Amino acid sequence: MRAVHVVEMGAVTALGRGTDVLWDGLIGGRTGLAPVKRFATDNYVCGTAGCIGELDAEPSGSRLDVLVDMLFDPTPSIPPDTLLLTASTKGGIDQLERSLRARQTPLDRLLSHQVADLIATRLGLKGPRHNISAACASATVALALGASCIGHDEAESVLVCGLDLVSEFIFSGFSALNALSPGKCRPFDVERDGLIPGEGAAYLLLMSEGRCRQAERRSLGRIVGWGVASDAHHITAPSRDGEGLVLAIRQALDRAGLACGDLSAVSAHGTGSVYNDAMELTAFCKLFDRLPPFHSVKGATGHTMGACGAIETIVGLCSLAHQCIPPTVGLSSREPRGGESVSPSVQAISGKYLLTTNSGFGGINATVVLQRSGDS
Amino acid sequence: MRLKILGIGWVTPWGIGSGQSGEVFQPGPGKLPAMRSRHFLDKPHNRFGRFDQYTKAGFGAIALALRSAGLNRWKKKQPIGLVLGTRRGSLETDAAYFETAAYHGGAMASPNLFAYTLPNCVLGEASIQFGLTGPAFVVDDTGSGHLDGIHTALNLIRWGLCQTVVAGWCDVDSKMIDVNSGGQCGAIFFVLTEGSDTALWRWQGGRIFFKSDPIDDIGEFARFFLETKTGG
Repeated sequence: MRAVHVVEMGAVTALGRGTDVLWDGLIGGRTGLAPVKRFATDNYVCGTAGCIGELDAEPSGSRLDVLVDMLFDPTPSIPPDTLLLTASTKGGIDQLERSLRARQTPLDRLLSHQVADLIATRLGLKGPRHNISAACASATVALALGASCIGHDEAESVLVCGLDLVSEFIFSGFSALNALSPGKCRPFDVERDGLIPGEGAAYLLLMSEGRCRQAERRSLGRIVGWGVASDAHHITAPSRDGEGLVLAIRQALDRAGLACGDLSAVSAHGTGSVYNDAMELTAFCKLFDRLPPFHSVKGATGHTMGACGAIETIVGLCSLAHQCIPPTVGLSSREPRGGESVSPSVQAISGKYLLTTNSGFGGINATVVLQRSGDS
Repeated sequence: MRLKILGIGWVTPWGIGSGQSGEVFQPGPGKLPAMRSRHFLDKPHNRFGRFDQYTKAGFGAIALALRSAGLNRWKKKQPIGLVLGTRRGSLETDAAYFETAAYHGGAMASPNLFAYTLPNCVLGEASIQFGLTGPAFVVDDTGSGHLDGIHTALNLIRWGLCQTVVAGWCDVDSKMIDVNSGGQCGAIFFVLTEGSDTALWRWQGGRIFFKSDPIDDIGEFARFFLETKTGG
């Protein structure tokens, strides 16, 4: 199978614009979680989210357009024949909210193909395009598909872009499901009590070795393994035995030709919800004799849903480049099963492979194994 | 790649079927028939009545396809994938959910409806019912004969991400938006796997063929399969 290189990436989150700002914010232990300004939260379990300030003003169209403009400013150099895979759970859902409240709005960002159309038009892409919807594992599934296309000689260049908004729609829904934390997001903490939503967008441009060389692009790292598997257990709750995630991790490691001991670190989904984090720890404990250093970004960015897999893959590549993983913001009393492997401080790592994992409603799990740039 | 069709199931305004007793697949616009779990399953399903229309139609067609493939009964979970192509997805349920959340400051938001505002949750319901542990996700229907889900599934097989995939299309009416999708409503799923070298179905250059006949529409795909009674 051909090598899959990441040659360009970008991100916008509640921590700010750009991958450097994201990385510096995470390493500095900062959080972008703050009181929500764009809708009233009086009747919800909490009033906090990882919102991007520039999106608070109500636009004439969808906030998604503003987010995409922020993500692609300045416009990156993407070959026009690039296959585009977007990943979003609810796209421009703010338009549905406004429409149902009888406020004037176009309805041009509600359907999932319109998310892909928006980005293709913005970047002048002429290749095929699709949106992938797999709940909070959407971007990770899109990365797996994109890497497969290149790996199996069916594309030379693939742009994977994950994006989702904080909206009253999703906020009220998580609140109704009692999934929100009334306090703060505390991944892998014994006192964790729920997630905090966040919004964001991130892109990764993948290229084959040949196209990478031909276009004189520098490799920022490689995607060497991926796996996607279902729990077959429950629609909104993860499987307690973690078997779906175990399966997805095993698939990714097999594809990469690696063993668990080859991984230098794990970027976990780590939503801060009681059951998700317990499921992940169960899966990790089944797989690893000794847990590698692992962390979650959700206490800093919020849970960015369909975008989180793309954001966390960028963080994973930065982690490999800097040989450290960011602190798990919000963590104070570690889950005993996590031991010293998860920390509220920066942790040094040593090695060239890192695993990222994401799971979502519908019982879906997706994983990607990354390899540090310069190692072949 | 040669391909083999192991089963088929559908729900359209014209009826519910799986090709068992000469049933003919007929797509079209209109209202979907009343759906009960007994139409699709051997035993009652205690949550089926709470499913939205999109989930009922998609789940039902997947159940019939698996039954016609003989894969509906299981003791051990099966590594079978699920891929669904859709234009409107859960849009109608999104609107119904937000009607419950938009007033009284969100105090009356329905958690049951919210769970079905993700278009992939229908696949989660099917994976639970039939113990399917393969990849499961939704792709947008780009208007190419409702075959986007099928083509994506065939890629999963070719790439070795799974050996067998239940793949198809599902769309239900939405008052929210005119999506110009030809007005078709319904769900149709096929159980697909790689065929032997002598299989009459093949997938080449991103196009499905039966012998030398190209298939460019999911309705044609169903009709060829049902009329020729040839799965391999």
